[in-house]
Amino acid sequence: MMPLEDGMQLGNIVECKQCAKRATVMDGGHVHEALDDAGCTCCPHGHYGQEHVDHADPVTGTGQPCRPVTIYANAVVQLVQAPSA
Amino acid sequence: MLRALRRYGSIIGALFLLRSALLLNNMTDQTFVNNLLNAIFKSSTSFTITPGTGGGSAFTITPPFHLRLMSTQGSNTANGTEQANGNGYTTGGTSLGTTFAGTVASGAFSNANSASWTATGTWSPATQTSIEIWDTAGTPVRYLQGALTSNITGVANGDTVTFAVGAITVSAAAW
Repeated sequence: MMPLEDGMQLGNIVECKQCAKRATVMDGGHVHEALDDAGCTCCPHGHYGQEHVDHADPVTGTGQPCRPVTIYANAVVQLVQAPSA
Repeated sequence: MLRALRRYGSIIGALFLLRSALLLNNMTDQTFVNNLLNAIFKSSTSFTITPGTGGGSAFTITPPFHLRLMSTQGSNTANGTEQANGNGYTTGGTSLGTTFAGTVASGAFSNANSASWTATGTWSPATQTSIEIWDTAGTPVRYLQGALTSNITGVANGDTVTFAVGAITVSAAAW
């Protein structure tokens, strides 16, 4: 997992489903770009970041990403003042 | 000099007492808060609370609780905008399990079960900012809302978004 700089808030953790390499996604960052920064090279087509996400698989033609990830999200919640339907 | 110091100390002391008197949060017995959280968020069956005379209408709490992903965060008084239905996300969110709450302590708890979605296409809107927790009544009721620690951006086909056990923190310690 990539080290965090001093004072940075811990973001979501993203994990490559193929090689299980992990990286930290900072606020607003793209999940696949974070994995690229961690040195994950599992994409068989050599695509990275947004280019990878937009890529339609040339074999299946279905748009299946060639390197899906698991995103581990966290949140802090509070009671609402007026429960609403 | 000594007299001036004493007078200054008295003023500081009076201000401190005034501040203590004006601060009204953290005023609920924490054991009572824990009991309420246990009753509401650890229950696996529906139950109704009936207020006394003049206390308003009875209300029913209906587990299981559902986790909803929001593309725009709401507030304590207004609902946010839920992630669009489709591509692996279903409007109304996903179950947080038979029992939502883990161990309640010091007026706080976290989720006892994980919750996740696996995308079947690129999510749009592309960014999710927050979550809300609703019950599963016929007309669901919203109970909790809050921001993600970090936004989720760029979920595509095959990706999984997971809230692991303990990833959602609920705190009522400041009641």
